[in-house]
Amino acid sequence: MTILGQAAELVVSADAELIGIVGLSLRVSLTATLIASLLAIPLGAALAIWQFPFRQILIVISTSLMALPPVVVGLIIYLLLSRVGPLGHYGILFTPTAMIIAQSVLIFPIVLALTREAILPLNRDYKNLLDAWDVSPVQRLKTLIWDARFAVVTGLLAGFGRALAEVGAVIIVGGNIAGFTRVMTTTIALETSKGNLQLALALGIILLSIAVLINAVIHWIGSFGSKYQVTR
Amino acid sequence: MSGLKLTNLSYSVDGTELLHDISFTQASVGISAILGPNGAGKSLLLSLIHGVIKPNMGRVTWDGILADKTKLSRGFVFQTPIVLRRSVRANLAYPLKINGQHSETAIKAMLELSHLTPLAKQPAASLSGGEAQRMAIARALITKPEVLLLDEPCSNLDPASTKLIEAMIGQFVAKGGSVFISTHDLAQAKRLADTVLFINAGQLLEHTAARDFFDGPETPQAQAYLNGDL
Repeated sequence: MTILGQAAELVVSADAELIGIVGLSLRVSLTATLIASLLAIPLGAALAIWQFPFRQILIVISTSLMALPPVVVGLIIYLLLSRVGPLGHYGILFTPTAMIIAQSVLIFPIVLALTREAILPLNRDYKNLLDAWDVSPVQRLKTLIWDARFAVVTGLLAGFGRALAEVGAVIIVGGNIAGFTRVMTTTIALETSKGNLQLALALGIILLSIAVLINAVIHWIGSFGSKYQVTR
Repeated sequence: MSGLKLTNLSYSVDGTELLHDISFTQASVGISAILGPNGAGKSLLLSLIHGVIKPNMGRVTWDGILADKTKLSRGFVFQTPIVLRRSVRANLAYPLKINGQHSETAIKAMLELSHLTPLAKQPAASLSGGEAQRMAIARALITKPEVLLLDEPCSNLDPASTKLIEAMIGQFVAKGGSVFISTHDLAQAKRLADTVLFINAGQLLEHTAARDFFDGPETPQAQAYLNGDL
């Protein structure tokens, strides 16, 4: 049987090790996406809506963070969480929690930037109407986030995709411990170096499938969301 | 009817005076048309009367209270209808929702008034220009304002759409509401208006009964405007 055939068999037979790795990957990345979104969506919307001190600086910083190499993020979080680091007493280095933190930091600027981009034009369109109704700041934030929901969800999916595909940071702060912090990407890197291509390829197939699925959903959301956009 | 009073109202942007020393009072129920050539300041005056914009100088009051403090008692409809990215129904429900209210009866009544009941569940973005403008008017009326301000509501609309919008305005006025409408459509102003405010280059040149204005305007600028020369 070819390597591809063996990999496919691992996927089809729902191999326990494989399922465990995929499950942990999804749990870590989904949690990171949720945490990053809870912070990035309101902040991205606020940056789009209001002028306030240090706004431009915040925009520059958040945009720069998008280009931050994952290994650098991993290193910084490693230093913070290591025994001698300021957060070392929490003892979360080499745990899924550390991986969630690293992925959250990586996703945050992406979700923030995409939210801001989505809400900027909407705020221009809605401003007069919301001003006329004296809409409160909180209500304005909620209204604009809701009405930009399709673009915001697309941003979330892009962030989730980035988290799931990330390897540099999670391998540093997670340690790639079998059955504990080993996720799809780190397993692929490790198993490939060991020559165990079946498992690496099986995970590659799953990762690729998830990427295709995410893009299909993004495409569908874009197409569905366009029905709500005024084009005239 | 709420009494409107403008006192020495001026408005400037970056040193350019767009409205200059406008003063008038108006206490009558009915429809006031704001007329004037492009760039005269009609939309700006309407926004100041509503209270959505505060004047640089002077005051706008309704029953003695500054306009921006009471703007929720007035509805504003913009020239290009602002369509929320929601269904038609959700657009109508929005003004109630932001005030913590919900009324199926009011939503149903506004859908019927605007002839949009069959389209209630459609994304509002799918509406035609006329339908979107009717939705915007219904959305402004759902909170039961005392005054409705309309900024060229029928520009670029076909006669049938204009007729439906005028019917909505007529029903509002019949129930005791008052309307300020800016328009370039002189025929529409003649059909609807009880009072005319004529402005040119940021100055209020005439404030008079509509019949008097159309029969014999007092200023050469207004005469030129009616003749199509301004």
